[in-house]
Amino acid sequence: MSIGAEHVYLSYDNIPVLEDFTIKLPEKGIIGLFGPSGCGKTTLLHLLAGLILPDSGRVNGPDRENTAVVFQEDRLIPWMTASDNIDLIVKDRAVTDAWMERIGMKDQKNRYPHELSGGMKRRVALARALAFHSGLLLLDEPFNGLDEDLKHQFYDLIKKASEERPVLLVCHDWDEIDLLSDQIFKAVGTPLQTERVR
Amino acid sequence: MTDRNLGSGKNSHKNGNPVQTLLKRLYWVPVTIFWILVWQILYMVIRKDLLLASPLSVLLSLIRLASTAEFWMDCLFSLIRIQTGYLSGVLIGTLLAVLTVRFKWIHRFVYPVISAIRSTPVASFIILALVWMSNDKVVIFIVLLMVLPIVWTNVAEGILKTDTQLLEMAKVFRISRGQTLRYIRIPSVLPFFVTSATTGLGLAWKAGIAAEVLSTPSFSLGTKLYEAKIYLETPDLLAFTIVIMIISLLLEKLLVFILKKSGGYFRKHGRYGIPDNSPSSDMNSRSGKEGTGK
Repeated sequence: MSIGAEHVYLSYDNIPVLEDFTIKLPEKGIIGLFGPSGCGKTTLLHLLAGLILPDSGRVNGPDRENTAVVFQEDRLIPWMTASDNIDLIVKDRAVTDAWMERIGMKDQKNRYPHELSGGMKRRVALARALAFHSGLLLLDEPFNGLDEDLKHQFYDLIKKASEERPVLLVCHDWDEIDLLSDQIFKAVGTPLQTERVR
Repeated sequence: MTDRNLGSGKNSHKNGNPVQTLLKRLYWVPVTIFWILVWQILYMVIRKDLLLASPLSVLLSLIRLASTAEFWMDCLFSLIRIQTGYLSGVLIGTLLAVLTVRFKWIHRFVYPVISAIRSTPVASFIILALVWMSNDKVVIFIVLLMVLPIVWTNVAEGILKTDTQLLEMAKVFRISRGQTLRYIRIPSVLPFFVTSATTGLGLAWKAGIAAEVLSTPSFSLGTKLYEAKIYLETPDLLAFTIVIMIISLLLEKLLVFILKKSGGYFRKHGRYGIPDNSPSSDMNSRSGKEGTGK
């Protein structure tokens, strides 16, 4: 069964966010979704992550596999160090250390989130999701707070991750979507509708 | 990947001049001397031992009392009674908080009772309790009754204020329930628990001694306070008051120490890390470790 949503209806306070919404993700590759704020992109991601249930319709996650998410917010546990935040998910210190080195934060691994810059926190949040063994990777504005060099380094990591699983990338920056995505959908209107652009 | 130290300024404020640090720590010495001087001046103005005993006579009284076994028995039994009531209040208050947050119908039943307890004068409860139970149990019951609402309110608030975004993250990344409890839920509630536990401890001693004064159980500091008042022994009265203050303060320090150590268990690397917006950040700063990294 392919990952995605079928004929999903969802509303908040009687305002429809999704109406007969269907999306099917390929087995691998990057699917870019861009569009204006407030059109339901994040809601779709939360739906696919299993954080919200549809009023009706069907949501299919990866079979017997996990879903990794980079939320709009970093969502790091404030009282755990950067590496412990990753290790809590990965449960393998060697893998965690390798990821800390890969994201260029080997020297900051014992720092707490409040001791890190915005970009560093974002790097940890991205590393946490990329290090997590998953069958679907959901990215919600993942490059917020990163400069161009860092963005390009993460582009490579995400492209590599997409060789084994589908990656749904939600972004309002067309250039990023255009550069990374194998398929591109444009979000239009509320309730959310998507148009395939590429 | 580029490694750029964006700088946190960590520890830059630490390791200052040791003499200055020592002077800061001993700030209470001149403050205490100042207030003892004020007391002595007041005594010299009033010149009536019955109304206000001198610092020296209180000190002598304290030395005399401390040399008797009975004094230590009074301290011990008061400590046992009050701490039993306190710990029961903390335990029941915490359990009740978990239950009332989890089950709304329990909250509906419990809320009016707790509100009634909060707004009723402690003296009314003491007198009622004297009718219902033995003198020893009155003290335990009253302390429990005073501590429970504070712990319940704070812990329930802490549970409700647990960051839902972190809980969502835990759900997505399949963090087990046990780990979510240990690494997210308990550390989130901890600052609220610490506030209620320390506030409750001070109140426990105030209410406990008041209950002892009215119920006069054998071997108790409250009974000795009452007897000192009856026999107009003002130096003894003040000496016992000072003893109660010292015990209460020492217990509070001990409690903060224990909670910090236990906080480290939940925060993996021993960091207390109370968020700035938590109600106990003032408590944290009192202990001189505000927002430190580890």
